[in-house]
Parts: sequence; structure tokens; C-alpha cells
Amino acid sequence: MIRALFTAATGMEAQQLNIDVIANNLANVNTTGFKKSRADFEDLLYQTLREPGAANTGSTEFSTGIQVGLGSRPAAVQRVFGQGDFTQTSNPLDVAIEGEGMFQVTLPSGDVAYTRAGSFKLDSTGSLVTSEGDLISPQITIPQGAESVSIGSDGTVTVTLPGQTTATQVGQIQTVRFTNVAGLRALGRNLFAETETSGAAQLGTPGENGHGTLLQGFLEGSNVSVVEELVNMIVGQRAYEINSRAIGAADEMLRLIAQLVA
Amino acid sequence: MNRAVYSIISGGLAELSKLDLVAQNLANASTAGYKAQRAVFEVRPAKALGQARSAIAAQRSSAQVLERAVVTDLSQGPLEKTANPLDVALEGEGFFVVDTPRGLRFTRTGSFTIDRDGKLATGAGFPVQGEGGEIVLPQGRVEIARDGTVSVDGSQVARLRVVVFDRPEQLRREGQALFSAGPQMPQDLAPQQVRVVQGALEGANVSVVEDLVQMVETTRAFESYMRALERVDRLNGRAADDLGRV
Repeated sequence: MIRALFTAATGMEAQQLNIDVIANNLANVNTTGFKKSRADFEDLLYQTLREPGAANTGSTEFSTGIQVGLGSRPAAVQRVFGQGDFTQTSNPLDVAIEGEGMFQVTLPSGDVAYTRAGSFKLDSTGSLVTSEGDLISPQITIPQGAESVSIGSDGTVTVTLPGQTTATQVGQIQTVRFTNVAGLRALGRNLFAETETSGAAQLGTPGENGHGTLLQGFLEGSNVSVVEELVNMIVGQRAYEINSRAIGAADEMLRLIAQLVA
Repeated sequence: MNRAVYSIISGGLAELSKLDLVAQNLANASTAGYKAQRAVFEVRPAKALGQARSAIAAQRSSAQVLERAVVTDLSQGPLEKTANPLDVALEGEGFFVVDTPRGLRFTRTGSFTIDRDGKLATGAGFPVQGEGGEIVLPQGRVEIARDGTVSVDGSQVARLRVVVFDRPEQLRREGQALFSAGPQMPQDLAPQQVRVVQGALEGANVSVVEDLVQMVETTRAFESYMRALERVDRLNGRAADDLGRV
């Protein structure tokens, strides 16, 4: 009937998704290791009423065509893996990654997942686990009665045992990198899973081959900028409103047509 | 009598297609790299059909409003900072080149990613073309210089291909932010003329104010046409009633 009605509706739907993504970012502003997302849009199909450069007569051509666009649609919800802020916690088992890389954890199902949230704990057997209780991989066990745990920038975990003066190395935290980190699939609970587009995980030592270094006693906050999100929210909300106005205008024109018939 | 009706209807239809474009522009107000569309109309004036004969005027065709073209406004959109190293925006003229299964396509949207083979690609997975074909990025920090040179960890890998067209108004829009060239040949822009900004995207060049004003204007103009149509209809009715009585 009127293309504008449906075109504007696609605009409203796109803006709704935009607001959804912004709301999720804002809800996770204090989530350790959270990476914000961004909704990207693209223009939808075009209805070509006349080809650009089509022949007008045998010797002349229309310099421009008539192509009417039919709205917009979401192209991607892209995760932005920028660095989050560091907060000092003084907890020896809190570890932040400065630079690229993710911690590798083993889920109870046996699957491997990846996280930037380094708020580690010890489980009943002394193994290093995430807040959810997933073991970090390769597994690191802190012996019972260890007096202090120190984690070096290269991931070396050393402990001081009672009655000993020298520290003992008990393991090394390794990190993974991906060719296309934005291609990871978010599992929730701060976890990501490998996909075909992310490429295979490349296990390495922190500080080497582009892997970021570790920082003990710090946590990486979310990389959500509240100001930016609020500005985006205002823009999204207004865009939604404006698209609804366009529906109103199309509706008004339809009403006028209907009145003629009445 | 019918002449007036047809003139008015052609005007009303023109307003309807104007609204379609306004809605399209507004729906894409947040689409990166989107270029606004505008309709161009022409008025075909009423013309005498044949020769006037003594007292009787010649039959006249009705004046018509015709949609001449829908043009793409290729002006620069605002640059929006994203801090994502694979987001690039073009300042000034030019298009990025992407390889699709249908052939080379051109885009202003630089929200690129890396695909599973390490190639620089668009969000839809089409490889972005450098001067030497596809751009394969090794691991590391990606830097894209102003002239489009792509470096990873300081060593140059490739240069983004940026092209211009003799007649950009004839580019065909395909959706997904892509343009196709048709029979035109793209011309590579010289490196010193290329202005690529890393960590930013070019926003839509839709002027929301302008489109909203146009929307109001369109609605009102359409209303006037419809009122005119009503009036003509009433006149015709009276003509039928009154003249018939004599």
C-alpha cells in the first residue's frame, strides 16, 4: 500500500534492537571482564523502478535510476573487545589481563570456554576456579597451608609453604588468543566459546607473542562507558520516535485517501 | 474535467513516493555508511493537443508531476568514534572495494572484521580488497594509516583499495550498504588523496531535521491534493446535477 509504513516499521524494529543492546551494556557496567556490544545496521533491499543508466532513447540514457529503499535491518551485534578499566582489589587471586588474551576454563560438561574475568577462587581441593566453579585450564592446584600465592606477569604461580624460605612454582596460567576475537560466541556468565569465525584458540604464555601480561591483585572492569551508552540511548530513542512519526504521516495520508471514498 | 483529476492524482502520487524515501532515510538514520536518497520530480506542463479551430480551443493534455529520478546524496556523513581498530571511515570521496559472490561491490561502511582465515572482511563476510587482492592479517595489533596502509605490529601488510567513479550518480544500490558499478569502471584513488580514519565509522548522512520537515510538508501537500480532488469531484457532481436539469 504505502511503502513508507513498512519502511518506518523496519526502522522502529532496528532501533528497538539498538536499545536492547544498550540496556544490556548498561546492566553490565559493573560486571568484571564484560565486553560491550554494539548493534550495526544495514540498508535493506531496494525496489528498482528504473535502472540507473537505462536507455531513454536509442542514443540517450537516464543519468540516474529510480530505486526506492525498503528500510533497515540489523547487520550484526558486534562485541567490542576494548580494554576495560582496572580496579585494584588486593585479593591475591584476582588477576587482570593487560592486553590481548583470555583465560581458558573447563566447564563441568568438559567443554572449554574462555573468559576475561579473572576473579579466581580456590575450590575444596585447592584448585584455581572461576566464581562459577569452573576449573581454569591448565589446572593449577595450590597446596594446602600455602602462606602466600603470587602470580607473575607471565602467569607463573608460586607459593610459599610453611617453614620454607624459598617460593615453589606450582604452575603457570596460560592465556589464549584468537584471530578474530569478535567472532567468539557469548555463553553468558562471562564466558565465551570458540566458533568457526573466531579461529582456533592459540594457547600461549602471557607476555609472549602478543599475549597480554597478567596483573595480580587487579580486576578488569567492564569496558562500558556510561556516558557513551546514555548518549546512544537518547539517539536510539529519538530515532525510534521519529520512525513512529513517519508511520503516523503515512497513516494520515491513508486516512485522507479513505475520506475521499467515504 | 478529467484533466484536473489526473493532474491532482499525479501530484498526490508524487507526495506518496516522497514519503517512501523520507521513511527510508529515517529508518536508516543509524546505519553506518548509509547515503540519503532524494526524489527528483518534473512537471510536464499541459499541452495543446492539435490545432485550435476558430472558436473552439484545442483539447489540452493534463499537467503531470512525474518522478524523474531518485538520486543518492553522496555527501560526507559524520565520523563517529568507535575505538574498534577494524572500524574505518572514509573522509571525502571514495568507496571501499569488497569481493562478493556476485562480483566486486563498493561500500562506504567500514565496520570490518577478520574472518576465520584471517582475512579482512565486512560484517557479512565479504573479503575487503587491498591493492593486491584480499588482505590477510597475521596476528597482532592492526594499524590503518591515513592513506589506507594496513600494518600489523608495525610492518606493512597491504593497502586498502579506495576507488572513485566518473559518474557516481549511476551507482546501483543493492542494500547491505553495497553499491554496484554496472558498466562503469572504478578508478583507484591516489594514496595522497585517500583519507582513511581508523577507529571511527561514517554515520548516515541523513539530516533528520530536513527529513522531518519534508515529512510534514509531504503530508500537508498530500492533504491539499486530496482537498482539491474533493472540490473537483463536487464540481463534477454539480455539473451532472445542474446541467442535466436545464
